[in-house]
Amino acid sequence: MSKVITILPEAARFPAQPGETLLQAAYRYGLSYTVGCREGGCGACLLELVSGEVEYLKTVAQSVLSDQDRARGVCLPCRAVPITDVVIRLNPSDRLKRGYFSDSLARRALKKAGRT
Amino acid sequence: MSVMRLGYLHIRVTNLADAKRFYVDTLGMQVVLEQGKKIYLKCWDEWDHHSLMIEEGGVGVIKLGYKVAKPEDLAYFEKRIEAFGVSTARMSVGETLGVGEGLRFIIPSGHTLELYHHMEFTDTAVGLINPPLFPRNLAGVGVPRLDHCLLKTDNIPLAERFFIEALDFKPAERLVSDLSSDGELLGTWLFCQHKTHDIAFVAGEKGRIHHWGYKLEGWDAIRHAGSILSMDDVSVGYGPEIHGLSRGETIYFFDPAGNRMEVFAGGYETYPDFPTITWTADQLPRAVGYISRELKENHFTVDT
Repeated sequence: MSKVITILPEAARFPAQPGETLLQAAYRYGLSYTVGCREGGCGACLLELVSGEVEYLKTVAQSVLSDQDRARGVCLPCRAVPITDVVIRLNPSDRLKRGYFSDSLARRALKKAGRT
Repeated sequence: MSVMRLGYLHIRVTNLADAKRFYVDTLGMQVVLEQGKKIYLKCWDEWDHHSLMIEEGGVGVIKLGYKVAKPEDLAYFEKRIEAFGVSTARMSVGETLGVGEGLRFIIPSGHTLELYHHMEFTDTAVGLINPPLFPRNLAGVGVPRLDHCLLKTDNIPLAERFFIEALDFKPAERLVSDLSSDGELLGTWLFCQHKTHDIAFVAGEKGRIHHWGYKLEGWDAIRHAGSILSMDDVSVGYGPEIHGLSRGETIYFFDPAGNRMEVFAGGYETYPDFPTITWTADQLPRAVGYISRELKENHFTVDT
């Protein structure tokens, strides 16, 4: 079953495809926020993992996301692949940018996945 | 007595296989040697042993190598560097693969730099006898040469003074907060021969790297590079654009470990009497992107 990602505080909700990262999924719906290299190297996209579990299929440098960070509930969305439904929260200084079709695409995908 | 150019960069990547695919298939560099968790690479128009070493484990820069013109330059610069108050260590032949005797020291910005005079000659991909214009089997972007790098440090005046006083570089362009007498130096772009710049520093966290650059032929080559980057789904950070600062045509992008690099074309030639150009911080958007005058908020904050 599709894993559903929710981005707080805007509560944007959309399903991910198997194996895709949180950021890849968000971008697919035209959703974005302040990120950096998108290749796991800079840590600019680090966010609070409010609930759910993620896995890292590619090696992530300790200098970018340490074990302590992970234990504190921080995730690296450009590398994190959801293994359950996931809720993440933007940093207070940031804002979610929505594309023209973001909401309708997400609604359609949720419905198709039977997760409305 | 002079430093000639940036000869090599040694960097870290999180996954060697992904990095190899990127540097070989997307950038079009050639593998010189694979040794355990290290790969040595070069560009098609470079004649020395390597210009990039990628090593698995982490991300960011390990060290930079600058080549000097004459063997006696090593002793000359050793004195100048020590006189500046920076301690140096002698490198023996082969300590850095393919490189002869040299000097290793940590520059005031916290980066490890090596000066050397000799590097094993391995010829360009087109050879030296009646060479064709470019190799016929070039992959991807087909970067011809490594050009420069932009490093970060928390003390720009000190980094600049070191390169001027100890290494005989000159600032081509500088970024200042404003033109008042107590204006702050926020960035400096320095040259050692005739390039637009060979090394640059921008204010930020000491020891980090913003990017390194490859020199392409011109705007058409930048356009071609951009097409390849999209085909290979490479993360592009900025561009294509034209820099006001340096007049270079540019695209910034990231390798699969998140190290940033640039394809750079145009620019201008510098000379020993080149008068330093100044940019004020209020014009930073135009200095970085002359056409759009829109600076992405993460362009300077993101580094490795």
